[in-house]
Amino acid sequence: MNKKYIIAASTLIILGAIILFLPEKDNSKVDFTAEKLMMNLVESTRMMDSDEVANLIITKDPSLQLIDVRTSEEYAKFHLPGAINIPLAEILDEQWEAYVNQATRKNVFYSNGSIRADQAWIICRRGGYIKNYILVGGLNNWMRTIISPEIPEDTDDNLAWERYNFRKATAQYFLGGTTQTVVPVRKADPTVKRKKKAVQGGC
Amino acid sequence: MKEDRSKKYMNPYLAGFFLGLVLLAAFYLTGRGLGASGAVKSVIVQTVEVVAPTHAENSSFYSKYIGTGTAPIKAWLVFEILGVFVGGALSGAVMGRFKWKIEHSPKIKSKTRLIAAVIGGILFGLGSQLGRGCTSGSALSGMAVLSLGGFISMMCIFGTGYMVAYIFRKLWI
Amino acid sequence: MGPLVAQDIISSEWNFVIALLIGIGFGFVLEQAGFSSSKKLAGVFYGYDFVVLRVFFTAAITAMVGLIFLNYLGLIDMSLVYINPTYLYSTIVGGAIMGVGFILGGFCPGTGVCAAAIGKIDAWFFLLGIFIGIFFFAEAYDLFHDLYLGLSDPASFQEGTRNIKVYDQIGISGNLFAFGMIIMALVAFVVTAQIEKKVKKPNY
Repeated sequence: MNKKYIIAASTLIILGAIILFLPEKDNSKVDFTAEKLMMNLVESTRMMDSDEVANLIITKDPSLQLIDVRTSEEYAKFHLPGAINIPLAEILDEQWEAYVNQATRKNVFYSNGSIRADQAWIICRRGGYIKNYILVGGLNNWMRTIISPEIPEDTDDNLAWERYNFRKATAQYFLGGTTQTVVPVRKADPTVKRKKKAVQGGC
Repeated sequence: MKEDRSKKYMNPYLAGFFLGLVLLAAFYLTGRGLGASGAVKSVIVQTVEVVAPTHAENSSFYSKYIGTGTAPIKAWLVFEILGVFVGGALSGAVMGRFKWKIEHSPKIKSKTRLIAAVIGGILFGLGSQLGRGCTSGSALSGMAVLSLGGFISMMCIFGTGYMVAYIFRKLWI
Repeated sequence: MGPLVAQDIISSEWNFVIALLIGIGFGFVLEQAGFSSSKKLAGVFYGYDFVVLRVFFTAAITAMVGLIFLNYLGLIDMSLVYINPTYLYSTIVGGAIMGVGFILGGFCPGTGVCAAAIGKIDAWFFLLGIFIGIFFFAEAYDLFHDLYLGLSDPASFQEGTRNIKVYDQIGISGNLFAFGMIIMALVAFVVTAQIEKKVKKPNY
């Protein structure tokens, strides 16, 4: 009789000791206060610009998952390569949960501008989902920057030119090689040449 | 010769362990602990609603519970208490403990015991409402989830019991 | 992840079946422990039978440890578990009244039902008393209104949901408290076992 009690009591004490060292754990799904959400909103890390996304597409980065949150009609007319269509209204539907609630791939929401993508992002963040981003400026900006990028001015720095070339090449990738791309030759740095002045001499 | 098991009780620690498992199951399955007094309250509220509806509407107590379509929590307790009755009967049957009996100390009469039982019940009924639960609902379940109310409940019930035990000792020893 | 019904893993239609089954388990164990005898229950107050303390503390600790581990393993969402709110003065007064009721009645509601199930007539009278008591409370509610709603509770209790954990009130961590409770219970078991040996037992 006594031995059983000692074993039971010891087990209990051991369990208690284990408990003493257990870390705090909160399993509640939705724990986002307004303040926390606000902090997340202003973080720029959730935003991806067209160049970043274009790069991921071209390099065929497997972690990228583009999510088109516009309507299915808009999606059918045009969508970015590899994008799946989850209309904003359906974003919390069970059938899409495996896409939006995961931790391996980078979900990049996009719409025509930024509004719908932003909304999708907020809704998902509220649910505690991570690894979700938005394409800043949406398709409109995508067209402006990637497809028809602005030709930099002569006075712009190297970086601007590199970006332009990248975008042009990207556009080629997306639009197919049929488009004739006119790659303006980069003008050489206008170095200020010291004009050799004829020595005007004379006295 | 038939074995008389009626005086045989389960080892209290083992019984406590099993009770703890039942309580844990209740939490894991339904998110709530055990309870008893709540069931009686449910029955009373329902009865008054049916028998005297206008009175129920006018009362600041009953009116809280009507119209919401009997809160499921309350009915849950009623079913649970029915289960307690069945479970107790089952155990009594298995152990041969069925017997109509008025249990009382030899120092008092049966009648005294019954009167004390009723008064005790009245006090428990009243107290359980103020305490928002009885020993099962508030103290036991509350302690398992480490709620402050649960511990205060337990300390007050047993503390007071100890304080008045001497006065009423003739009832028991 | 639990709680299963709250998370819709088990549909809510099963809720009442579960209630019934849990109740049966509850009643069965109580009766097995001898809680269907008012004499045995009263023993904790007079030192001749500490079964109440043993069962009560063991049960609370078992469930508490179980919940802590389930939570750690991510198997239960504690934010969905009902934690009884704290109404300071209401609980104190209610508890005191129940304490007297326990000594007089020799039962608490759960054990009373259990005892009634095996034929204890004093238990039936006790249950009758509970009905009267609650009915009285309902009818005289206006008298108890302020106390019940904790309107005169200290300010720190009034703000928020009154969902206060015992360890927060004392100012230590939950896990430390759990450990402490285990140690205290074990000590209590040993001490009460000694007391019980020394006290004269009535015939029951």
